[in-house]
Order: sequence, then structure tokens, then C-alpha cells
Amino acid sequence: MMRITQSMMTSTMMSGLQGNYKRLDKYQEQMMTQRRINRPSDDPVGVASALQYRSQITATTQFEQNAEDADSWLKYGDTVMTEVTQIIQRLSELAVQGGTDTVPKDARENIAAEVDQLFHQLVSLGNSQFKGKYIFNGERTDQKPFPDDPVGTAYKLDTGEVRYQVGAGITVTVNTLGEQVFGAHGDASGIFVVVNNLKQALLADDTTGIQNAIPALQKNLETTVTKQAEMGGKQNRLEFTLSRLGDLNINYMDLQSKVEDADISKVIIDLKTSESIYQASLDTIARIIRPSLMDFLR
Amino acid sequence: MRSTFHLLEIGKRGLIAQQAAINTAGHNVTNANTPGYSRQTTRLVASSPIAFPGMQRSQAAGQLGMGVEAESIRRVRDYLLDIEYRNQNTNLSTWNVQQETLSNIEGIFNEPSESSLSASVAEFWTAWQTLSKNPSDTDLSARMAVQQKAIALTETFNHIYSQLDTLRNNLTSRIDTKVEEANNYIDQIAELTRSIKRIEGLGDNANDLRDKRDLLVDQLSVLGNVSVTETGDVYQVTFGNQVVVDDMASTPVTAAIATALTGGEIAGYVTSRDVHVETYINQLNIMANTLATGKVEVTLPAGTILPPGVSIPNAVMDPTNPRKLAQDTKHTVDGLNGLHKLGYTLNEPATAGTDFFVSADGGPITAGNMRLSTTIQADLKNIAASLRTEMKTNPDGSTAEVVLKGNGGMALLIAGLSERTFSFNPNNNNGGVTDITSFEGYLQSVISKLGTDSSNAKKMVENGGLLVEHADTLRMSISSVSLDEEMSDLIRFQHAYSASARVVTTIDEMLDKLINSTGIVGR
Repeated sequence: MMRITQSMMTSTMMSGLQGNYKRLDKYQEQMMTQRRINRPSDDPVGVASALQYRSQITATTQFEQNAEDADSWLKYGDTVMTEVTQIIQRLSELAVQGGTDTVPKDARENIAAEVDQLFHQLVSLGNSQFKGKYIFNGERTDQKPFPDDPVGTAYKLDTGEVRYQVGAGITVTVNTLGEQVFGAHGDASGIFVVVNNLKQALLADDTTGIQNAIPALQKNLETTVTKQAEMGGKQNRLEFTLSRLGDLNINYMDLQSKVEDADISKVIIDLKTSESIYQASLDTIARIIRPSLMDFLR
Repeated sequence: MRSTFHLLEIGKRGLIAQQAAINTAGHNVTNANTPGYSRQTTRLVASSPIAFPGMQRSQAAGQLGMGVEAESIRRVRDYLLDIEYRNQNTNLSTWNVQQETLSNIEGIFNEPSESSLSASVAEFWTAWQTLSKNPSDTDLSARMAVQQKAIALTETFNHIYSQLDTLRNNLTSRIDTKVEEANNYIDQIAELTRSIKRIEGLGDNANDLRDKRDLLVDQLSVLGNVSVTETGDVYQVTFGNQVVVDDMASTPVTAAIATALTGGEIAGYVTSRDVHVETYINQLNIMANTLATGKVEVTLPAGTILPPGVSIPNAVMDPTNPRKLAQDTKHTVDGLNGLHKLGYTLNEPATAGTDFFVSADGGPITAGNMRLSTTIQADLKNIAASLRTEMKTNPDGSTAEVVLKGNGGMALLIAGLSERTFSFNPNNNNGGVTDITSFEGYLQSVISKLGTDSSNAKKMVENGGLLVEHADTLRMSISSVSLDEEMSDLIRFQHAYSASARVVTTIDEMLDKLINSTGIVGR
């Protein structure tokens, strides 16, 4: 039979008490940090997932930011294109007005003056800047694409595409190439040449020349509208991307929370249980330690 | 023929013997809480009776009892349990120390948190994303972010490295301290052995000194594996593989003993330093080195202008420009540094990037010496974000190659490295977790391994603790003082003492009768 002595009981109780206290400490830490994984050893497998979700969340948040930036660039481009459309429409009206046989010469000169104004506005639209970057000069965003007189002065636009990353391996091109909207230098059907021809025809009182401008303007309008539609399509795609990224982020956060976060109701119950166990062990010790044979002798 | 006072003598012997037993019980009670104390018992034996068989044998009844004697006072102890306890104790201390170290390393890596290496890396990649959107010099804040995040990343590497290095040095000094502590115990054990020999030479048991000596051996067993042999008079203690106490002589140990120890704190510190800390320093170096220079395959987009002198085998080049890629081309580069060199800085004329990360001491890049290139620290323009250049005609008619500032292709490629697969330094025989994976995947494996190591050590400590407790319980069950037992003994011996006194009273009365009340005839 095993002898049991006071020091054995004390030592057993001490180690039991230590164990209970340790458990109390663990749940208290989970309670304070609200997290189940506070160090890698809390869950060696879970911590790898936790780190992965964390980096996914950082990346996804960045992609969301990129998509939003791409969207605002495209919105700006859209606004510019709308203005270009309006100008071409006004030019068409003016061409129709000026192309009528009955219009007197001085009236045509007045119209030519307005056409000239619109021409300069088109040039300045071609030189639009978004956050300090020229949007129609490919990747040469730091250089003005069109000279003040794009008909008389040679210019060459860059055709580089500005890409923003909006997902793992997914990019979206945010810029529209200036040559595709305004035409390259020397392109007879380009808007600048067409408008310039119109102006010259008006000044020269050349009815045929003025009338010829109408279909050419129409063609440019179509090009512009097509490009604008393309931008709209991209914006649509970005909206999808953004909502997908949002979902993805929520999903990752949810997963991260599942791995890392403490189940609070469970922690509270565990904490309360370990607290009362600790209390009970203290009570028991107080009760057991005292009585010995001495207490009963006389 | 017995003496008249024979019974008086027996009574006296009883008093003395019972008193000795009471003293022992008292000694036990007062030492109930003394560490290392084992309870003592008084061995009572009946004294040798008189009247040996012989020629002149008395006709009276023989073998007349001569009372009681306290023959010896012995401690109650089981040496086998000592061995068991010490072995378990040694094992527990090894794990205790390792667990402490691993938990320290966990604290140093500080994962998962907002200020850890993985957080620094994630922020570093996103800074490149931002730069890819704003590569031109009109907005230097994106470049500033890349520079600052890169510095933060290198500092995180440096910081973790230096903390691990400090830990390594601390462990070395701990080993020295513990060796000194062991020598202190060894000296005391030898000293006690001398005292024990002197006392026991006279035929007594040096119980309390033996307890003290055993306690010292217990304490020595915390530091390293110890074994004790006692054959006849010769007492030997072996620590590791070295006899440190040989009878009365002692031999101090040096730190060199560490390699021969199979357990205990000293061995634990050695394993902590040479295996655990070394592993994680090595892992960290592999990570820093691989990020900067590890082989990684990237896809250079069509239109990329390669810097002069760079050629990619089997690449299809643009017929109008022998440096321009005609189509998307896969190419393996030497880490972020190798990739960065394929891009162009903001400088005029077009200049290719330089090494992004450098080593502070000129050697291979490690976690300790990794720095952001000083040229990039000095000038944000030296960050290469563009993949394209073009020829520009100056007003005087000369031409110069200039960078396309709006191209963020390189920044995008570098940001994309977070998804690429690196070849981790192959000569990582010291605990490399895996060879080919993404940078973050590798980091996650390292942290996961650290978690496994640490939680394994925790379990070993828990199990070891239970085993020590079990061995100690068995030992205490034999040797520790039970107050109830001692109280019962006290009562037992006190009554025996009283009864012996009564025997003396009885003989006193008898003698009184004989001396004072007899022979009055004729008075």
C-alpha cells in the first residue's frame, strides 16, 4: 500500500493548482486579445492559414484600390469623350448650317470663327491631364501629345497601354490611345484635319468642301462613340471586379476570423469554468491541509 | 546469577531507547518540510541476553532478557527511485530550456501581428502596386512608399536577425553560468562525502548529510545527466561521461562537457543555441537572400526594351529594334535584384536599374546585412519602374535614349513577385523547409515549423512534468514524513517510555520492601 504524506498532498495540490491557473491564464489571454492564435504554437497549422489570409486580404485590398483608381481614370476619360462628342455634334450642325447654298460669305466667316474655337477646344481636350498625366499619349504620360497646331506641326503619339492590376494576374488597360480618337499626324480622316478643312472651306466660301466635311465628321463621331462605349464596357467590367474583390475580401476576413479569432462565448464559458475550478481547488486545499491527527488529540 | 539491580538496568535501557525513538519522531516532525529530507526510523533491538551456554551454566532460566537498545537510526530511502527521479528530472529540464527558447523565438518573430515580417512583406508588395500606377516623376509619393517599405522590410529582417543573434549569445553565457553552477554542486558533493566518511568511519549513519548530498545530486541532475555508484565505501558521481566525484576527490567540468551531456539544462541550452536558434537564423538568411537573389521566372511583356548587353535566349525580338521583345517572354532572373536591373530608372538618359537590395558588408546578402541600396536611399529616381525607353531627338539634332516615364511595367512585375515561385537557396541543409515555393509560402512554412517545434516542446515539458511528479510521488511515498504517522509513533513511544518508568518504580518498590521493610525480626 502506498503511503500518503502531507508533503505529497501539498506537492500534488501545488501542481494541480498550477495547471488550473495556467488554463485560467490561457483563456484570459484569449479573452483579452479576442484571438485564439496568439503565437504560432497555439495552432501551428492554423497559423500558416492565418498568415495566408492576412496577405490575401492585404493584396485584395490593394486590388480594390487599383480597381477604384482605374475606374476614376476611365470615368475621367469618359467625361472627356463626351465633350469630344458634343463638339463634333456642334461642328456637324455648323457644317450643315454653313453648307447651305444660301448662306452669305460673311456668315460663313462667322461660322469659321466658331469652328476655329472648337478646333482649339478639341486640341486642349486631346491634351487632357488626369492627376498630372496626359491620358492620350500612351505611356508617355509626362509629355503633351498634341502640338497647338496638330495639322501643321508633326506629332507622334505613344501607343503604350497603361495597365492597372486588379487581381492575381489580371490587369485592365485604363488609357485610350490618342491616335485612335483624334487620328495620327497626316491622317486625312483624322478629326483635326477634317475640322481644319472645314474651316478652310468656310473661309474660302467653298460649298462642296463644307458639305464634304459632314460625312467625315460623322465618321469621327462614330469612332469617338465606339471608343466611349469601349470605356463603358471596361467600367462595367471593373464594377464586376470590384464587387467580386469585395466579396473575396469578406470571404478572406471570414476565413481569417474563423482561424484566428476566439469563439467568444466558448472562451467565456471556458474562462468561467476554469475560474470556478481554480476557486474550488483553493477551497479544497484549505479544507484538506489542516486536519491531521494533531487536531484530534486532546 | 542475575544482579539485584538487573530490572533497574532494563528499565533504564527502556527509558533511553524510547527517548531516542521519541527524539527521532521529533526530528522527523520538525523536518517535515525540509527539501531532500528522508524520514528516519530508530531501530530498536532487544539487547543480547546474558548466560551464554558454558561449563558453569547457571541452573536458573537462561537467556535472561537484557532490555532494549536503540541499535541504529536509519533513513528510509529507495535508491532505485532516486535514479528514476533524476533521469526524469534531467529529461524535463532539457525540454524546459528548449521550450523557453522556442517561445522566445516565437516572440521574436511575433507572428501573426501587424508588425511582423509577413506584414512588412505584404506592405512591400502593395507599395510596388501603387508605384505601378504612378511611375512618373510628377508623383514621387509612390516612390517614397516603395523606398520606405523596403527600408522597413530590411529593418524587420535586421531586427529579427539581431534579436536571434542576441539570444544565441545569451544562451552561450547561460551555458557558462550553468557549468559554474554544476561545479559548485560537485564541490559540495565532494565536501559532504568527506564528512560522511569521517562520521561513518565511527560506525554511525550520517543520515542528514546523506540527505543533503542526495539533494545536491538531485539538483545536479537538473543541469545534466548524472549517475551515482556507491560500492562499499567508494562513492562516485558521473556527470555526462565524466567522473566528477571519485570518493573524496572532485574534478570540475568545463563548457566542453556540454557535448557529452545527453540531457539537462546545459544540453538543453546547447540544443537551443545550435539547433533551434541556428535553424531560424538560417531560415531567415535564406529568405532574405532568396528575396534579393533567388532564381524566379517572370514574364516580360511584349514591347519590353531590354537594357544594352542583356539578351534572353530564344526570345523573339522586334525586327526594327533588336532590344525590343516582340512577344511576351518568360525569363528567369536572380531575384528582385536581377529583375530590377531589367528596368529603367527615371534618370536621363535612360539608365537601367541597379541592385535593389545590397549587403552592408559586401558579402552575400543575409538577414543581418540586408540593406536597401544606398543609391535608392539617396534618390527616389533610382527606383526602376519602367520597362520601356525610346529615342528622343534633341533640339540640336542629336538623339538620346530616354525612359518612358508613364510605363509602370517593372513595378507591376516586381509587385507580381508575391505570386511567383522562387528557388530557395539549395544549400540549406540546415533545416530548410522546402525548395520551391512563393516567398510568402516559405515564410508561412517557417512560422508553421516554429509553431510545431514550440508546441512539441510544450507537450514534452507537460509530459516530462508528469513523469517527474510521478517519480517524486513514489519517492515521497517512501521517504517523506507523515505527520499522522509521527504522531502515532510519539504516542506509542511515549507510552512505552511511561511504562519503562513504571518498571523502574516497580523495582524501586521492591527494593524498598527488601531494604526497608525486611529484616526487622529482633529489632
